[in-house]
Parts: sequence; structure tokens; C-alpha cells
Amino acid sequence: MVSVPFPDMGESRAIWWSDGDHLVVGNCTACSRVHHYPRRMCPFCHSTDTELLEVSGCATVTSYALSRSKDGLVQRVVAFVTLDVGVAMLTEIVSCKPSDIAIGLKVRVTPRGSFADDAPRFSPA
Amino acid sequence: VKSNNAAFIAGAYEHPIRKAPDKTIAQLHAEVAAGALADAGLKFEDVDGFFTAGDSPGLGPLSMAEYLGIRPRHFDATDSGGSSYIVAVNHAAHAIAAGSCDVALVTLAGKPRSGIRTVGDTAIVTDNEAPDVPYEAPFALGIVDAYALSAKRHAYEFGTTAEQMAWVKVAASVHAQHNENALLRNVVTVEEVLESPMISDPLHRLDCCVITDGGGALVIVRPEVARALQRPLVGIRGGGEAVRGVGGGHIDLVSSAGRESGREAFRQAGVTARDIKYASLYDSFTITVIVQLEDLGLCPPGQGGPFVQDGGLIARHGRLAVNTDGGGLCNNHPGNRGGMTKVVEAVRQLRGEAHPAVQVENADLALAHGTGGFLSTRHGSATVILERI
Repeated sequence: MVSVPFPDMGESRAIWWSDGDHLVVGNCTACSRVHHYPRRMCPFCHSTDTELLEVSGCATVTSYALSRSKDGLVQRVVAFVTLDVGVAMLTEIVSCKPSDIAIGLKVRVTPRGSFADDAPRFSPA
Repeated sequence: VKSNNAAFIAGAYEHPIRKAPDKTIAQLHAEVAAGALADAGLKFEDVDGFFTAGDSPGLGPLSMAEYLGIRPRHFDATDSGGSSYIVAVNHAAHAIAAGSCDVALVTLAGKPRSGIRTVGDTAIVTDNEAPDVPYEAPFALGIVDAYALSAKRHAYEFGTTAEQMAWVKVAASVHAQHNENALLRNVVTVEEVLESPMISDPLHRLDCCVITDGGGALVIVRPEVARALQRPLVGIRGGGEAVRGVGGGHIDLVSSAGRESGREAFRQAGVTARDIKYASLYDSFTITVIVQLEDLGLCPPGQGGPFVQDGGLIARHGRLAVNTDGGGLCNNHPGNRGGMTKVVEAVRQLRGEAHPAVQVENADLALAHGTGGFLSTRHGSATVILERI
């Protein structure tokens, strides 16, 4: 895992990716703990020595909700996934039949650029 | 009961209306304020403390103090979503104890059923400056989804079933049949809950609270004022409040800040969960009640499902009478904020003014608890413990 500096744009928009297109989480060099979402001040020790940590993108489904449209069809799967570095993030599970999703399912982040809004989704590993 | 209450709830009022397209939100605030003051036997001129929250239009207490024609020397607009009014009870007790006011008015009003400030099946919309928004908005997390994330995890960790969750709704409906103002008065079965449309698995439509117009108000006074009035004495014995989010990515989906708010309220009150005769628990969704029962120690951790099943929450029959007005699931959830009605029904129970079919015998100690915001992502919990003197 490679650490990268906090971006120059700061918190002015969502920080999901490194310049090398790896998924990132917040990391504190003072207390060595990772956090999500990334922020300028560590939520645990309150140091401002925070940076970003590139992570593998491998994760496990912690919980999920099958959000249905008025006709009863699953329109979206919203989930908390826990990354292999131990922090959870809210995301959407894609490319997976709703009946195949389960807590504990191994998932992997979809490549940057897969979606117009830059936010990472996950699909079964 | 040995008591040294700093403040008393002298007036409590729930607006009977459930749809009010022709009234303004300000007007509803005025109507519930008048109702609670009349219940207490006090007048608008007596009010010197004012507590309202994000449901108040305009600049909150500034706009509403003018509309109501009151001149508070203490005001508070703390907003924690639906639990705000339980926070307000706690804050009003503090303000009275500090000598900042003598007669505190707490008001809530809203009209989402008429389409004003509606929430429900749409994505959660908040301030774009909120730090969490960029990390949640892309996934269009809806309110039901947020609670479904907790419900699904609770089922995974503790084996809580959809049938058990449905029992929370069944109990509410059994109570609501006796409430002539309840939006939904029909008694439903577990099967009917499970057969209702799935909104966000595992939550069905009947696992969700109603959307209603209306509101409610409380009048909280110092002991000398309370003792001079012709109303039963309902003392505020303890209170607590707490906030939880996603813990920097270290989430806990199966418990709430109610653990912390409840612990503080019980500490202040000097009583235990076993002493509680009646509980008003926020029922935004059926899962919310199950989580709160556990967090408050009203049942063992992880055992909320077995506790509520087979009518566990039905007055006079179950393990603990909960939400005897029919709760947010059947009676009322005015302005999408259920904390006010939680306190109002607890006051009715302590006064012996609940419907005879659901009145708890010897109801001398009650708890009202709320979870405002969203169970899985961020919420504010508030607990008050009330006693009949």
C-alpha cells in the first residue's frame, strides 16, 4: 500500500482516487490509523498530519439494502463494504444479481472511470 | 418514589389533525401551543422559555416567537431530527434548573402529508456543505435504505427475523384501534406486514411509519409552578442525549447512540430499566424499536427480536407496554418527527389519561426515547425518564 499526499484541492470535492487511479482512504501519520471519508484532521487523534492511503479495492459486504422501485423491482443495491484495511464505506453493488448478494460476500472496486460521477462501486470479486 | 425533579411537564398536547392542506405550519405551531397551555392551565403570557427545532419555518424561534406573540428570555433551536423534542425536554429541564426560565413551551408542526417538506421514498437530501454528502449522495441512499442497512445486519448478527420486526407493527396497530385520531386504526397481522410491498429489503411498507401533518406541544415548568396547577405532577427525573455517525469508517450498524443517552438518563434518574412501567420508543421503522429496546437495557443485547414477538409490546398482555397511542407506525408522525408524540403518550400514561384499553396499571415511571436522523449513518438519540409524583 502506497501513501500519497493530501490533494491540493483539499476537501473541496470527494476524494476517492489517487493520481494513479487507486482507491484511497484517509490515513493519519501521527496515530497510524486509517479512516473514511478522508479529511484534513484525523477523527481519532486530531492531528492534521493526514494523507491518503492507496488500498487494494478488495472488500467484504458488511450490510446491504435492496432498494425497490414502486413496481417492486430492485433498482439499486446500497451497501456498506469493509475494505481490507478495516474501514467501511458506503457504496453501491453493481454487476451482481440481487439474489447473489450476501453479507460476507467478497467484492472488488470497479475501475475508475466506470461511472460518470467518479464515485466507486463494487462488484463480486 | 424519592424525587428531586428540577422541572415538570405540566401541559401536553397532540394535534388531532393528520392532514392539514389549508393550514400553515406556523398556524399549526400556534394551535398546538394553545392546546398544551390550555392543558396545563397556563396562558401565552406565562411563557418565558421557547424550544423548537428544524420544523419551525423561517428563522425558527425568531420567526415563531413573533407569530406566537411570546417574548422568551431563553430559547433553543437544537435540531436532531425527530428526537429534537426529547432533547428539548432535557434542555428545558436544564434551563429551568439554571433559573433561565419558569415556563418553557416546546412546539412541533409539519405537513408532509400535504406535500410540504416531504420525505420518504426519495434520496436523503441535506446541505451540500455537510462533509458526508460527497461520500453518500452518489449512491442515492434513501431513508428506508439507511434503516434497512441496520435491519439486515441485525438479522445477520442476531437472527432477527422479518416476522419479529412485523410484531412491532402488529402491537402498534392493536393499540391504534383505540385511538380515534390515529391515521391507521385497523389491526394488522404479521402475515399482512410480510405481504405488504417490499420497500428496501428487509423492510416492507408496513415496517415504515406513517407520514402525517400535524404536530404537538409541551409545557415544562419549575416545581413551584407545577404544584400551583390543577394537573397531575409529571416530573422529569433524568435525561440523556448522544450522537453517533460512522466512526471514521468503524461502523456499528446494530446499536445506536441510545446506549449512551439511555445510560446517562438512567444514571441521573437513579433507576434501572427494570423499573420502567411504560416506554415510548421511536418507531420510524420496526427495526428502530428493536435496536432501542436493546440499547436502553429494556431487553438483553441482541434479544430485541424475541422480546417483541408474540405481542411482546402490547399493553396489558406483553412484556412491556410500548407506544400505546399506536406510535409512528399507526397513529402519527407529524412533520416526519416522532419525538413529540413519544413524550405526549408517556405523559398520558403517567397521568392515567391513556385510553383505558391500553392504560398501564400503576404507571409511575415511564421512558420516552428518540432516534433522530438515520440509524446506520448518523443520528442523535435522546432519552428522558419521567415519573408520576
